[in-house]
Amino acid sequence: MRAVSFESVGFSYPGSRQDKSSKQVFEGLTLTLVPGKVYVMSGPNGCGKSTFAKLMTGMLKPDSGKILIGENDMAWMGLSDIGKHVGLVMQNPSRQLIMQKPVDEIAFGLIHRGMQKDEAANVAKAALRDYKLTEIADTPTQKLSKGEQVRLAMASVAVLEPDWLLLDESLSCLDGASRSKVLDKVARLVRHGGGALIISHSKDLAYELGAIRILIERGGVSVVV
Amino acid sequence: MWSDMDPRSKIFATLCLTSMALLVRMPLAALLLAALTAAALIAFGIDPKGPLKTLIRLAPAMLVVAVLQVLLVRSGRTVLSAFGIGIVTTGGLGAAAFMVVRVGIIAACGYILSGIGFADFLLAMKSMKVPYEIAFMAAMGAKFLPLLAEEMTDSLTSAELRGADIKRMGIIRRLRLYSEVLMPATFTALSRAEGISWALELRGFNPGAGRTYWRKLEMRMSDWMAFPLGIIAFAAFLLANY
Repeated sequence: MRAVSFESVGFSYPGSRQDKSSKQVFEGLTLTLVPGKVYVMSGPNGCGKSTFAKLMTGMLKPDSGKILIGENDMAWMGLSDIGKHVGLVMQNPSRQLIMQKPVDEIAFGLIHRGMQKDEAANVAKAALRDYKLTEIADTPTQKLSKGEQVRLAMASVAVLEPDWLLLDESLSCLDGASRSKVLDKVARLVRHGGGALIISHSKDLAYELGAIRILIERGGVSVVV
Repeated sequence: MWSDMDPRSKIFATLCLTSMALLVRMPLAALLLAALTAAALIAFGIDPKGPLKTLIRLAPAMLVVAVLQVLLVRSGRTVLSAFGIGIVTTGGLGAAAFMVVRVGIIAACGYILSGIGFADFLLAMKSMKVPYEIAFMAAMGAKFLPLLAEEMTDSLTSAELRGADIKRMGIIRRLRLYSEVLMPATFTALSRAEGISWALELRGFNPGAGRTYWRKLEMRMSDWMAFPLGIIAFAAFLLANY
């Protein structure tokens, strides 16, 4: 399991066609996320939480500095390589569900990682059971409830056994029971040596999980243990 | 220079440019048209890098269509043949080149139109006596395109993070993946459109109702100049082509 390190990372969004000035989000951001721990990132809207998630998954590239997974500079890694280490559950999970059937959705990543189709289908069925999704096994993914979509997105990422699980405000749309199920899975990943970064507006979540809290405010990042 | 021009002038300019793009037949006229489009982009304050980036992203699809044009169009002189069968003709090469120019001009016009705000677009359409329902649908469609693109990007990113190496993927597998990604993105866009239509109706939206607008569009000298310039360019283009 590998640590993710941000080393003097600077990032700004280019100016829009209406507003030409670029928007600086991070400058000199230095932070190391150590596996085996849960981190909860919080901060006001627009402070850069989702930008951090996109940088950590390689969806955005830093303007300056570097992001390392273990010893490897992410700048030289493709998304499919980064995905071996970081699994992302997006803020809006319906955007990341590609296949029509939940079982195919979970099998998608396994097949692309080289597993045989039959074996992938078996693993996917077991994951559906594990994530209490067997009842919706034949429901089209886009017709699932938000909570079911989050669990399905998480199952489809977790079966690939990444070092890190990144939940981008995915808990906000879950009811108590679904939230507990998701957090149980996070705890299991961490017990196996992985790490998790949960982006959340909830100030209490870090205390609830005994996690390390990362506070992002415009212009700065602080870590509260 | 003319970035704050009246939306009607921009719509007129894009109508002229796209019409010319569809009608273009002569190579020189195509080149001049491409130059005219670049000049229009600069005049409307749009950085040509934007449309260029779009073209680069569309390049693989354009290449496939261009190759099909080259192989299927059999007119003109044979340039390349194998076993006595003409494979590439001047007609095929010309058709492929014209297709690239047309797509480029249409992408550039899309950029010019996307710079018009939602309300301004509706006002412009209304002042041109376009039925409100049609104007509203067109404006909504234009609003949804970037969202659709964003959703497709997210889906493709998610696929890549789960091991789908799109860059190294064969064309058939890549097309299959794109079609799989297009389905949920379209579904989400449609369900969002349905949500918006419900929200509009619940707030008393009625396309047939008479409306009073706070803002009024006003044509300035530069706007009036765009019309004769467009007509002159179009006439010169027709003379050069036919």
